[in-house]
Order: sequence, then structure tokens, then C-alpha cells
Amino acid sequence: MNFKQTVFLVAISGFLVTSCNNENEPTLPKGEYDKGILIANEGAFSGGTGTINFISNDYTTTEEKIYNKVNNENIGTILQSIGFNNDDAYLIANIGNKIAVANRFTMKKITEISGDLNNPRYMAFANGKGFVTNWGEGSDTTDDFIAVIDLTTNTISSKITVSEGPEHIIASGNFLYVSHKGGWGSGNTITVINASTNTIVKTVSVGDIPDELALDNRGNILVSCEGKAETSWNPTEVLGSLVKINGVTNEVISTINFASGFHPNSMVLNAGNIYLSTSSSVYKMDENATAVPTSKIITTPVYGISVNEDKIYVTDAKDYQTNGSLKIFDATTNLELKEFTVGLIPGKIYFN
Amino acid sequence: MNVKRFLIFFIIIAIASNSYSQRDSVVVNLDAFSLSISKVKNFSKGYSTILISDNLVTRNIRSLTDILKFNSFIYFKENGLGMVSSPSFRGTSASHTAVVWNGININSQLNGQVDFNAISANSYNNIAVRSGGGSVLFGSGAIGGSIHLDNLITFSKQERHKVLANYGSFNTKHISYDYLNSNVKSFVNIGITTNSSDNDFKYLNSSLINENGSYYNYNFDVNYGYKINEKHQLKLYSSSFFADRNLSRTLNAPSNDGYEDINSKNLVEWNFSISPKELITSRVSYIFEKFKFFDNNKNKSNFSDGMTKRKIAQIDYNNSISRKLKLNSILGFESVSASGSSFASNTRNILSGVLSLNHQLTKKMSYGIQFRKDFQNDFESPFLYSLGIEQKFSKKYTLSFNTSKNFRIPTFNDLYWQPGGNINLKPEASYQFEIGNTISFKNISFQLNGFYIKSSDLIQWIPSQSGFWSPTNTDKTKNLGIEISANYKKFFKNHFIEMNMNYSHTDAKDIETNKQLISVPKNRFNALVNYHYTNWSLFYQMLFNDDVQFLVDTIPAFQVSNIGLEYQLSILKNKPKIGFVINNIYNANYQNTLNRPMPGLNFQITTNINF
Repeated sequence: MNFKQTVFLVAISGFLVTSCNNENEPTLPKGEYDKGILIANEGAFSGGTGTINFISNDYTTTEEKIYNKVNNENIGTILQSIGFNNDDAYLIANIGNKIAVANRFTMKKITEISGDLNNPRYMAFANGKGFVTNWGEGSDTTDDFIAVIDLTTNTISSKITVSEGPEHIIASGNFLYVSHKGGWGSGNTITVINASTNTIVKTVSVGDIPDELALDNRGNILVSCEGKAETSWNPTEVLGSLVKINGVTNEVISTINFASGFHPNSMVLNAGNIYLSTSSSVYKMDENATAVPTSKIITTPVYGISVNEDKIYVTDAKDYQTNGSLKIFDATTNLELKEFTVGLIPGKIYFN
Repeated sequence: MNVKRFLIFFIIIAIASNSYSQRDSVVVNLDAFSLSISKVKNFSKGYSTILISDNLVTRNIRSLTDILKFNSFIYFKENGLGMVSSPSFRGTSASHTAVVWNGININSQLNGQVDFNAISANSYNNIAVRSGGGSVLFGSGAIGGSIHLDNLITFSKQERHKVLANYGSFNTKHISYDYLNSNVKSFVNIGITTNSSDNDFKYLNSSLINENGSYYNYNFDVNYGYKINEKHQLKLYSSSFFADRNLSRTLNAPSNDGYEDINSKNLVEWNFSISPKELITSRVSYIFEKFKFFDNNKNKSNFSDGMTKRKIAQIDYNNSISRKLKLNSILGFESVSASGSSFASNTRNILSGVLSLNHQLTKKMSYGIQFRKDFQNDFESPFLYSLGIEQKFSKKYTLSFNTSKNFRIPTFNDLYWQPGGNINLKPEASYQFEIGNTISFKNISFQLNGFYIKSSDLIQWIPSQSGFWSPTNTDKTKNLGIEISANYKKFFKNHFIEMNMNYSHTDAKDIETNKQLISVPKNRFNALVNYHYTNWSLFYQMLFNDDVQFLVDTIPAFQVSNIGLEYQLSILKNKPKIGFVINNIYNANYQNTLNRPMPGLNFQITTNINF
């Protein structure tokens, strides 16, 4: 990976887009990468490194490998996700087994957390602490844990042992919700953790392979469960589902099954709408709807989605061997506005 | 292929052979006969072969990767020193180089490849690298080329012991003992080898060291021959290998993975000389391979594994119809079963028929023609052929041409891996054309080959709709290239000098996207100079490897050189040799695969005693 060769790319077609957000706030940018989109590219599994692309909100500035360039070092193999706490970005390298802490607007590295991590996945913040899900070794079902990070020192202060395959984690007040996707196996639970005592307060049963989590306007926790597609090695389909958990009692309020063949791989909640995606389309439903969406709003290859300020962002990992792309759609008309080439296997989209 | 027509053709040839056999006096000398070597020599008209001499093996004895990367055209994707190492021959992929042990194709039934760091490097009398497609003779995967590892069983009076002991940087050790005892009636050869290394070298221009890279391996060989009488010989070959490796870190990620391999190859061969011209060889072989992968080598109770067992039976009929006409036909049956953590137990049976003919048409022109057809329960196998022609224009110049259709059958992983395996795959098909020129003078010889390989239905794992990776027959590729090798030898008084060099230029592209294939160096060059004077010998070897594309990254081109000096202590009774080797003398910072640095300057002491 020669990041010295990285060049500044200026999108020549940027002026074609007349954005209404342009002259919004006269505040000074907090860094070179303020007021823009960050795309976390996983990078190559074998020996590779994750990278981050930056695209300014007005689309005039695009830049690749921003962290690698600013710090003259690599993020590590497989940039799984980024956790944000105030101005700090926590770059989680899954195979690299480390978290680089950097300023989200300048990308300047502050410190690095490593050592006690083991296959780290996602991070949430509560009660002044960071919580990182760790799969442990893929073949070991008993070594999974949540690493508790002391945010003042950025060191691991303790570990909470949990069941197999902790994946996504979100905070709701003083509680954390962890989906157990199940490592190489398959899970069907949500663990609720008290962020003050670092203890498990409840395990909630949901559908098979619970993945993404979101908080709705009533304080309920939404869980998208992939289910299991019918294949030659799995002859019986398990339907995907959307499960709602009461954020006070931690009881399941409702479970809506998806149609046969619909197995969501990501879910985003934005402005009262739930966006769900499969590998080829995006669906939309009201967060209080009791029926699942039947018609897609966008048909495009999907690796990751995100929604922000009336725009839908979709990444395409292409063939997983060449650079992927980011497509931006208008969330009202569902029409494509713009496409950018980004890095290898672009997984996550964040907004500065 | 119509089976009936195939049999009829076979019968006709056999009848023709009888009518010829009477007036010729060519005799198969059974005592020094190795069928597998003779196949590479006699039934490979138009194909070029590099023979790896004993002293090259001794010099790079750590692994077969080291031996071949400095002495052949093959590029190795070595995942760090001593780690998993797969070949790319003529720009083809890892499962397109066949490794043939005493005539038996030993590519893994699980992934179609041979890990060249998990196979003994010094168990053979003869190592040959044959460029070009050879599926007809050597089976699935012989597309870029094939590597032949042979043991010779001869019935002549000799007894010897050979001990080799090397020690080098990073606590790297090699110890081997080889014993041979033979007479006119029987032959025994036993070999024991062990290799180990801490392999904890420093990465150049980095604060990291090669953590988790240690390995050790053992190899045990037995070769036995018994001459029942002038007509019958019984031979037994057995080679067992065990390796325990930690899989080293990369520049971007630490590792605590571990890997264990066990493989055992066993072959019983019965040579029956029906007449002075006709030889029937029957063979029964049992090959076992097993691996265990540990994602935490501190906790070896958790692992994933895979295992295959192969039983092979072959009848190989050779007829030297005349001095000019040689015929070979093979009828083979193979049953393979595989099991492992990622797939259910499965078995496949393959019946194969091969017919080869070699004909010296005129004094200067000869040709070889071969056919193969496999029948198996999983899928339809294509009819394969190979044609090679050689024309000698003068004592100094020979022109050759060959064309062949080759294949690779889907592996057990491709078919049955859970999740993702695709039972509807068909074999990969590959067509090949090659022109070769051999120019020989008294002290110097040149070989120049141009090749074109067009492959279709290449099996590629791609992400499927259901989110799993699954193999399909999608890719089409074309590989175009040249290979040049030169060899120079000269004696003068007490001096002997030898120089070898190999250069290859390969242009390998995906036909649909017109993009260069990943993991293929465009230019590759290696050279060797050997110099002997009385008891001293000196060698210098170098390798240049061009830029290699890997996904969105480029592995930079590199050049690495080794130098060694050896002295034979003639005053001592057994005349032992001691030597000193400096590897990577220019301390080059290089990588064979992305972000896996190789060691800088390092040393090795070698001792070699024969008694």
C-alpha cells in the first residue's frame, strides 16, 4: 500500500450540482475533513488495510486514503466500522485487532487501542465509556466479549463476557443493546447491558441472525433479523424479521416477519422512516408501520446504506477485487444524484 | 468421446505393434527404468523441461519453493517465508500447476493446489519442471506446467549414507539423513528429514518483526525395490510429511493462527516385462492428506479441518514397437473421499483412459500424440488431446511445436463447501499452443518458447445473491508469453564454470474486462553462476520479479541475490563439505505477496557428509 502516491482528486463535475446546503452556516471548518461524507472501505482481507474516502458535501473535493495519508500509517486489515464520540473517531480494524483513535475532522491520530481486543466489530458510547463488541476466535463460542474502554485514557478497563457472536451495539440512556449475529454460527438474542455496572441485565430472544439495531422515536429498540435464505446447504428457509423491543421493560413488543426470500442485510432509521436493504434493492417503511414493505424504492447493488438529510447513500462493493462506488439518491424522489468511485469493499458511510 | 471408438483405436494400435515388433532390437532396460521419468522424456515431444540438479536442491533445501523460485520460470505466491506457498506458472492461477510424484498427480483434492512449503524438498532423485499443458498425461490442473518429483530404484551394487546439516539465521535448522543399499536383486532407500525455524526476522524499514512465523516439519521416506526375476520387478514408494506452522502476521494485522498438515503418499508398482519391447506396469496407490487450521494456536482444541483419501489403481502398458515407434496406454481408476468441518463427506470416482504415441518419422522429425478421456460421476469431463512435433534442422537447432487441450476438475471445496459450494460446476477448459526453439553449441545452449493459453469456464468464487461466496464457471483468460533459458558450461584445467538463466515475459489478461490478471509478474528473471576450482566452489544466484498487481494494490518489483562458498575437506576420510551462504546479500526489502515482507540479509552454514 503506497499511500505516498495518493493524489488529491478534485471532482470536475462537482459544479453541476447546485446544492441548497452550500451557504448554510458561516462557521469555520473544524478540519480538512469537516462538512463531508466519510466512507469506510474494508480493504483486502489478506494483508490489506482499510481506508477512508472523503467527499465534501458540495462534492467538489474528494480524497482517498485520508487517514493513511495524514498519519503515514495504515489503519489495519478490514476497517469494520467507525465509532464517533464528540470529535474522536474510533477506527475499528477487525483483523488488524486494533482501534486507531483519530480526530474525525483532521484524521490526525491521537492514540491506538490494541492488546486485549479480539476480532473487534462495533462500538457504542454510554456513561462516559466506550463499549466494543468482540467476536473472539471464530471457532470458539465461549471467548466473546464486550471490551469496556476508558475514554479518558483510551485503554481497555474491563471485559464483559457475552454469548457467541456479538455484532452491533447501540446505547439507549444508560443501557446498551447488543445483537448476537452469532459469529460463524447463528445467534438469535439481544443482550442488554447496564453501562454503569458493566453487567448483563437481560437476554432477549429475537429472530434468527439479529444484525442491525436502531432506536425509534418512542425509545423502542428496532432489530433487523436476517433469517436464513434457502440454499442447497440450508434447505429450510427461516424468514427474516423486524423485532421491536420496549426500551423500558426490555420485552419484545412486536415481531413482523418479512416475505419469503427477503433477508435484510442492513437497516437505517432516519426521520421516521426505516430503510432496509437486500444485496440488490432498498426498501422503505414508516417506523410505526405494522406491515412490511413490498415494493422497493431503489434497485441497485447494495453493500452498505446510510440516510442523511434527505439523501440515501448506497455503497457497491462490485466484485470485491476492484474499487467500489458510492451512489447518492434523493430520498424524496429516489433518483440517483451522483456516483463516486471509492475504495476496496466500501462498507460504511458516516457524516461529518 | 465415444468409448467404443476409443477402444477400437486402442486395439488397432496394439495389433499394429505386434507386426512391427519382430524385426527390431530395441529393448526396454528394466533395471534403470523409471516409467514416470520416461513419460516426461519420451512422451513430451515439443515440450521444454528444466531439470533441477542435485546441488541446486542441496543449496535451497529449506523448501521446494526456494528450489524452484531461483531455478525455474515459476512465480510463487509465498505468504511469508515458510508459509503457504502457491505457484503461478505462465500467468495461470495456483491450481494450474500439477505436481506429479512418481507418476501420480498429488494436487490437493480440496483446493486443487500444492503448498510448496508443505512438501519435502529433498526426497527425490530427479526433479523436473515441464512447461506447458500436460493434462493428458498428468491429469487435472496441468495447465501452466507440471513439476515432476521422482525416485529412482536401480538394481546395482551400492551402499551410501548421506548426512546434511544446516544451521542459519532465525534459528533455522535442516537435518537429514539418507541411506541407500542396493544390489542386483534388491534396493532399499530410507530418508529422514527435519526442518525448523523460529522465523522471527525483523521487517526492514519497520518496527515490526515476523511474529507468529515459526514452523517445523518432518519427512520420512522409504523406497524399496525387489527384482523377482528378469521379467518381474516390485517397487514400493512411500513418503510421509508432517508440518506444524504458525501463520505469520502481515504489516497490517497480527496473527495467532496455526496450521498443521499431514500427508502420506504410498505407491506399489509391479513391472512386468512381457517381451523385450513390451512392459506392463500395474500400480496401486494410496494418498492421504489432512489439515487442521487453528484460529488461535494457543488453544488447539478448537480447529477446522479437512481430509481426503485417494485410492488409485492403474495399468500402464508400454510398447516400444520399434526404435522409432513407442506406444503407451493407461487405464486408471481413482476413488477419492473427502470430509471436513466445512462440508459433508463425499466420494467421487474417476475412470480414465490415456493413449500416447511417439513416432520418429524421419531421422530429423518426430512427433507425439496423446488422448485422454475421464469418466466420472459428478460431471462430464472433456476429451483431451495433445500433439507435439519436433524437427531437427541441424545438430545445433531444433524447432518444436505443440498444442493441447487441458482441464481442471472442480475440487471438493468448489463443489461441496458449506456455505457456497456449487455442485453444478463443470471442469475448466484450456487450449494451448506453443513454439519452442532449442539451439545448442558445444558449451552453450538456448531454449526459447512462445506460448498462448486460452482458458474458459475458470472457476471463480464470487459473492452470490444470498450473501455467500459461491464458485461459478465465469472467467475467460488468455495468457501470452515467452520463456528464454540459457545454459553455459566450460571446463578449463582445474576450473569449471556453469551459468544458467531463465527469463519469462507473461501477459495474462481477463478476456472480458481486458484487465491484467492479479498475482502475475510481467517480467521475471533468474540467474545462477557456479564456479568450481579444486576443492572450492562458489555460487551466485539472483532473482528479479516484476511488479505484481494484487486487487487495488501493487506489490513492487524486487531483486534478491544469494551468494555461497563451499569447501571440500579432502584430507578427511569421508571428504565432508562445509559451506557458508549469505542470503539476500544486498538486504533488499521485498514481498512476494502483499504486505508480507521477506527477510533481509541472513546467513546459513551447511555441512554435507557422504560415507
